[in-house]
Amino acid sequence: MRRKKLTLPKQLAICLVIALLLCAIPTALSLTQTKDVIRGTITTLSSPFTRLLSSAGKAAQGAMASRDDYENLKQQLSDAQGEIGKLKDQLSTLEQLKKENEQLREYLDLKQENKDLILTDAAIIYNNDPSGRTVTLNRGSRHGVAVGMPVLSASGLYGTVSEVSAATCKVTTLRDETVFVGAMVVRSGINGTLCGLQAGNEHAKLQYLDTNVDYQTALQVGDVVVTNGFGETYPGGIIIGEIVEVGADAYDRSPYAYVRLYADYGATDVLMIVTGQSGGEEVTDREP
Amino acid sequence: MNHEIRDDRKLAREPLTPLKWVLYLLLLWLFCIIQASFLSYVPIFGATVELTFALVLLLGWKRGPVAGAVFGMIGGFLLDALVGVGISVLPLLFFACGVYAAFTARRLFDHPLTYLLMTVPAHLLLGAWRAIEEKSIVHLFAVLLAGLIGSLIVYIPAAVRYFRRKN
Repeated sequence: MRRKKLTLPKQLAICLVIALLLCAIPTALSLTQTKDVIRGTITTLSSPFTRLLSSAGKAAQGAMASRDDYENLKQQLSDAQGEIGKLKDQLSTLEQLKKENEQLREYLDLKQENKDLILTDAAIIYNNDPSGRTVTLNRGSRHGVAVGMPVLSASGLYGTVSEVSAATCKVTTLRDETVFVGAMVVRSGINGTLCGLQAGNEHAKLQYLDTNVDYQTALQVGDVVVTNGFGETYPGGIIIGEIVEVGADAYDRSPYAYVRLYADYGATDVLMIVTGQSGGEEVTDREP
Repeated sequence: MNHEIRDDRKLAREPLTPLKWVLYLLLLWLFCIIQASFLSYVPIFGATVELTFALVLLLGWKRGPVAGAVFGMIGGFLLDALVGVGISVLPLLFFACGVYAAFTARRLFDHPLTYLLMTVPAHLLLGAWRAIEEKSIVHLFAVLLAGLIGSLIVYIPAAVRYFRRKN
């Protein structure tokens, strides 16, 4: 007998019924917490493969997580490097500000120590020669600067104004051999003339000292030397440096001393010009 | 183009041999295992690539409504069994989508792009169910995206055959 073939709608209807049963039975078994033998068998049969592939999946997940961690760490490193760069910049600025602050504090101290002097601050804008004999400042006649005015640094006497234009002035420092300053040894009160640095010498020479003085005791290494204020150029009492060597001339046995200048040439950019004295006497225009 | 549609209809009428039934069932089981184990560890935006579903759609598309219906309900049942859900819905859902794929195949051209176009509503349906399970509407789109990726993977051999036949 020939079997009658089912039509498509009937086939699909049977499939639908089976699908409904496949949904309903496991759900019912699950809700009633009854053991599902078919599902259990499928799970058991699949378990070796499932375990194997789960391990592979975990490994892949781990690799992806490691990659994410690596990316995060890379990003953090990049951020940290950026932060370090910023902090370095800040540190550099702070160090600069600290240095500037120290300089300004020194100048404040200098101003307080020399209350009788009228000081105008100025900055070095050009080093005219490498040996530091002359420098150019950013103050000129417009600011009340005139030739012959003394120039101080925070540590001591620096030089004298030798040329003036409207906005700038040229300063001849104590390192120039043509500069002569009336000086006095503070401890003994002995006077003399301090000459600028002679060729081949690192220190200025104090000579033409007072006569009738016992030089053995009057000049000693470590004595502080200041301006004596005898001339008209430099007011008295401005610190110049300290004696580092004492000697006598080979020919006429006249005594002399080498003085280490306190002014820090090359290390500072800010100076003070003595434009007058608070007693009313203004430092006049005169040749150094 | 008509020639291609006729080819598809012919293919749908051709009964599958018992060996092919067994082979497809084994393939379906393998895909279920892969999806329930490996793919669940590598989600795409929180959604697992629905490899079994993609295979059911492809079988419905290529082998007709009966194949789509049978492989759909079996695939859904296997997946539910391996994942271990309480309320089983996938046999019915996969059955419906397998039949849908088969009937769509009769109206669209046999082209990889039309195949992908056909999978979109089916994946939206599955995504809606997953979104209810996960209580997240975002999951709907994640399932759609993961489903399209799965469909592409499964369809590669058929697409290669299609372009070979064309050339």
